[in-house]
Amino acid sequence: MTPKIVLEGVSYCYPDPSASPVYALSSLTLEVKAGDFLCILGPNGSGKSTLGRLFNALLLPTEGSVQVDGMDTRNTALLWTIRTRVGMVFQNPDNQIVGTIVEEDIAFGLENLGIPPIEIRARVDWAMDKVGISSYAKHPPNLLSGGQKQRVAIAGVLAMKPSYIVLDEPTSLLDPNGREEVLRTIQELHGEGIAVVLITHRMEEAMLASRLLVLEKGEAAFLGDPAQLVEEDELRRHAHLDLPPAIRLAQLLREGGIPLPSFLSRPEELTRTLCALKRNT
Amino acid sequence: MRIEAEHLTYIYGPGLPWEKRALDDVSLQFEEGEFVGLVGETGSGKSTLVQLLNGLLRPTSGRVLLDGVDLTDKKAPIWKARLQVGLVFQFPESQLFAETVAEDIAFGPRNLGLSRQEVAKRVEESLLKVGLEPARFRQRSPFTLSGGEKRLVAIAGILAMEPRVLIVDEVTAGLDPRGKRDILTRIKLLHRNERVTVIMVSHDMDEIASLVERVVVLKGGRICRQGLTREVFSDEESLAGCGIQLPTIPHILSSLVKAGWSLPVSIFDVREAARLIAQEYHDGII
Repeated sequence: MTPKIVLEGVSYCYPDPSASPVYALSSLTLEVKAGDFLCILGPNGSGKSTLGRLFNALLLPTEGSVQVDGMDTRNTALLWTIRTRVGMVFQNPDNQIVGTIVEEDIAFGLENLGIPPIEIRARVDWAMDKVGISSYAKHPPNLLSGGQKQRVAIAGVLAMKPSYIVLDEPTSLLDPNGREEVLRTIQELHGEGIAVVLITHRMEEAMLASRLLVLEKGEAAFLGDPAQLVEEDELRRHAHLDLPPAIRLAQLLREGGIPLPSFLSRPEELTRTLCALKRNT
Repeated sequence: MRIEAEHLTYIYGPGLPWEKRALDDVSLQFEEGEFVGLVGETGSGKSTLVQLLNGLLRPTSGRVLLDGVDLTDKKAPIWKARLQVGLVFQFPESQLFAETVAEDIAFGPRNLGLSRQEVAKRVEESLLKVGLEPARFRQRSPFTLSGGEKRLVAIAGILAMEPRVLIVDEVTAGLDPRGKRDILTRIKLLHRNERVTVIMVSHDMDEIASLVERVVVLKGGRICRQGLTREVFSDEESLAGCGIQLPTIPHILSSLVKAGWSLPVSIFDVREAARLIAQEYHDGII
């Protein structure tokens, strides 16, 4: 069986005794295969974070089922296996940092798995190096800036060597350099075969994914690749998903008679293509 | 209100192993009615600086003058001066606490000892200033609002103090695109209509370029560059030295210039950029 996460007819309803039930997600069917890069977009309250939490059994579906590599997330006996396999990084790192110094925080999960100290040391060093925080190894996390803290949180998940990593707006607090670094890390991890599920509001980031899911009021409004979403003007307007400036520029240039391809995921591709076109004319 | 910072230095945890000089001899001014962007990479001292500007932190050395009143002078009436610099922290919605939106916004003005009528008036006005219809929002619990609405309520709470300077620190972080646009529109209107001085801390250079008149760039606790937005965002190399990237459109233009195209760099409007690139492209063909 190919490893994958399978969501079948998943609905989720937050318990609210005072009101009639409101579904945060309704009848969602979705697969995340090993090595996928799926990006989830949608306005606040559309169910993105709820969906993210269903991937590793932080939430259990009200209806339908979530299977991680064939393991049902309702099966409590498999909980730790599932959570080791599906790592989770949240928007606010303050909610997930527990250690008194950075390297201890990253080691926390590994210590709880009973991994030998030598292996822990190696994995902690590797993870800190991956996200560029080695120089803060001995610092107390509470004195780091927001961006530095987020990288500590990502390292903590990386150290668990998960097959899937779900990131819930991981870059919304980082400066552009930090964001670039984290996105590069995410792409590297994806390149090494880890499946990535990235929840974001940033269209620039979404353009890097291989598949996009746009949620609206708990339902899938779009599932396809980035190039397809660029074509969907009506849907994007409705969901307030403005094109990133580089892609908008490319669109205007095509309208202005420059024969650019219909989709360029990064600004560098745009400049490269423009220069090549100009040379050849 | 004019703000002057003179030789500001701030050290976190002096004498401790993680001692950090967050600001190092920074001097700068903000003029009445300006809209200034404060940018810099993570850890460059932006948040420390804004907390010094309204007296939340006391500088290790140096001083802050608000219309000539020294915030660091223990005898000065800094309580009054401080009220005039409204600071909207990162994620200000986490500070909402009251049962209704109106109660939350009223908290500050009520502590100023204002009359009940005056407090009520300020609540209404503040809601209008952030674009929330008083009749619809007054009696709602802040916790039933969307992320963007909560943040607008938190900003209204600051505006109810009627500050002359508004400092917003990463005010759009974590909001969805619509919430982002709403907040930025409101801040732009406050600056234009109420003539409030706005200091905006942001990591988003596209956002900064589209809004502010002047930019101050910090790096490692020092001023790395400052000047008019068009000037600061015209030189990719020197900006990179400050740990800052150009906004997207100038960055693309700058890459084309490096490849031999003849274009200006400091263009922020995507249509204007498209027009210039297309012109240069077609000229090349002829």
